[in-house]
Amino acid sequence: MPAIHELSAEEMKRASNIVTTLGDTLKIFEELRIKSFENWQFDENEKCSVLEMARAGFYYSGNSKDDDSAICFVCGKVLDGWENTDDPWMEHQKHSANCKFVQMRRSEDDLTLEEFLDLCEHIIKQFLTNQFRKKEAAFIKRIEKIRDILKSQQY
Amino acid sequence: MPRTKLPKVAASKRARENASELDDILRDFDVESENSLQSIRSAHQKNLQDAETEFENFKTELGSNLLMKTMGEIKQMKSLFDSAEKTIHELNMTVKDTTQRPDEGYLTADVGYKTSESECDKSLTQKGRDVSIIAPLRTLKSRRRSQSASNVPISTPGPRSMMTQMKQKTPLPSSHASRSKFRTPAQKPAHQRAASADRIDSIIPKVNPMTPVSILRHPRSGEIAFSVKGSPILTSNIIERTANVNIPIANGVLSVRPENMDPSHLNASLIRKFDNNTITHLHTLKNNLDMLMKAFENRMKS
Ligand SMILES: [Zn+2]
Repeated sequence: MPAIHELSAEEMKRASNIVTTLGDTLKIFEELRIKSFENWQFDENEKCSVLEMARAGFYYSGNSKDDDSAICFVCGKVLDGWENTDDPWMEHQKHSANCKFVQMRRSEDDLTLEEFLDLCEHIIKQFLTNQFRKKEAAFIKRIEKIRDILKSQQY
Repeated sequence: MPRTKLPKVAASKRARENASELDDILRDFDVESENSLQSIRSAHQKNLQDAETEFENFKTELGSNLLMKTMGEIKQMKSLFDSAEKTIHELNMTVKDTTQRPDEGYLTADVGYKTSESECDKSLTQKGRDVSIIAPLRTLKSRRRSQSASNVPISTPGPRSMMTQMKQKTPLPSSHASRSKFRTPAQKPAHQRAASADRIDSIIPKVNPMTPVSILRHPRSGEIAFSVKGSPILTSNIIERTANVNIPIANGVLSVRPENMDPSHLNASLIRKFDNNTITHLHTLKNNLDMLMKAFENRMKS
């Protein structure tokens, strides 16, 4: 495995571009997750500190002071009712064992670029699928409605 | 005039017919609905497939060298790169005023293709709104592509035009910075270091490029070329196979190709772009070509 300084300027530029682009579009970086926990109730040496929460893939998703809900950036699982002895990774695994990030179970910096890109691909596909499911459901609903109207024409 | 007697339809019969007609309509409707549903489902599958292909291509372009790096290292690279770029930019700002002068005196061969990439991008963006989220990846790719593509001159429309006007490349400080000035010589392998421009102290021309006829060789891929006035230029690995004439004009280079010329291409605004020097050069060039042709003809006769 080549060391960083063996990479060409072009490769470094490429790497730099990837980081910028992915960060801007997908908002998947740990750094942003850390920032989202502005008024988190637990301090840094507790098991579910901001850093540990962010490392385990969680974003703060609450909207008031007494709302401690957090959402996983990959599987979208929302968990609340956190206690200072809760281990974010363990809770994540317990409630969402199929999550791709849980299955990797490594913090961002330890993933290879390839694994990270796979994660991005997974997130994008999931996003597309969720969008599609909504569209599909609305479509089916409309079909049924039209069918009912047609049927009511019988006399 | 008599007409065919229509039987009186009983009310119940009409209702029955009505009902069966409605059944037909409902059946058609169900079939149509199912078809539409299937088509949006397969469109979605195609979207997923496209995203997958996009990532696959993206990874291939990045190469295994980069893919094996951890995100920690990648981020480190980014900050290294950003600070290097910043330094270079600042350097350029200070150097710019004193040393920058337009570098005339070199010509580039025109190659008219430019559509393949943009066509491809276009077809990608037309694939539907649902994939818009992966568009930035394409932007990233095309941004990278455009760096190399920026050396390819843009031709005027018309597939058959034998005169092609192209924009003169003005050396942009920023693009120079990002493309060639950023090096880490101390950390590079020796063979790369030897080839880097700052190791070349002086250039001794082996031929006089100012003689009317000089035989030039094609640049090797990646070779650093220097224009007559001394500044490095990027060698293009696109090789011109036909004899052609490049004429520097006011805002670019006019390329005359060995294809039949249509007088409609010669409009007044184009002619205005030739200065007196160029016209003198063209006269001499024409004489030289005539002489060359005459020599060929004599040889053919004998
Ligand atoms: Zn998850």
